[in-house]
Amino acid sequence: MKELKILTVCGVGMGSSQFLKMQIDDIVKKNGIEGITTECGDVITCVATSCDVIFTQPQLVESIQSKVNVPIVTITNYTNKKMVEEALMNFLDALK
Amino acid sequence: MGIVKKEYIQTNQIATDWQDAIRKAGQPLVDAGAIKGSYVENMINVVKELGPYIVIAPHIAVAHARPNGDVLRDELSVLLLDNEVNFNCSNDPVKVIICMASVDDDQHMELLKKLATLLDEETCKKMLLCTNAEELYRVLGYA
Repeated sequence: MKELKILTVCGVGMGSSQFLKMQIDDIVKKNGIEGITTECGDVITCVATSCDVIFTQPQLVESIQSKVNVPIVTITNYTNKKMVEEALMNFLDALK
Repeated sequence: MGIVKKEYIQTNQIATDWQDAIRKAGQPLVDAGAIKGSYVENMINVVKELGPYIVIAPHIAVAHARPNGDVLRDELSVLLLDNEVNFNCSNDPVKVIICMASVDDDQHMELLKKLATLLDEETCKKMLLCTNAEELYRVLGYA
């Protein structure tokens, strides 16, 4: 698989986006998935950050979707690892 | 030792709305001199500007803002409400507000790592069932 960069996004770029990044990093490590890098950012700078996909809260989609041209995956519950894992796996499967 | 000091855990509180809830959750940190009042208002402004994305799980909000010289110490505070407040999002109604304050990015990462490890489904459920600060402290400290 080619290198894939996931950007997690929240309002200030250091709270919930960082939280979600950690969850994704954990899942990537646990499943031994290779070629994934993650970074977090805020709703303003994410527009200028190059990435292949954005993971964020549904509430933030409106603020960013018109400004970016990568897919946006939304996650309602950041504490639910299974939910985060499913979202990630579904996205990766769709790329195959 | 838990990641939240016992004196920063509040339970059996009532909030009139989500803004009141964030203010109440941040108050112990203001009283202790860990943050200034402006940081609390900034946590509210983040939601006003960008929407209720801080409600990262059902019934649980993690309030935070970009530190602007108004965070003096890295601390977390937790408020468990007796009533519920709405942020107008799919994870409503909210009962737990966690305030996160950190002076710089490095400390912030450490705090977040601990929080992310701690806040799994099981702990979140347990938190919501607590009836006093002692119980909540134990859930957060030994989960």
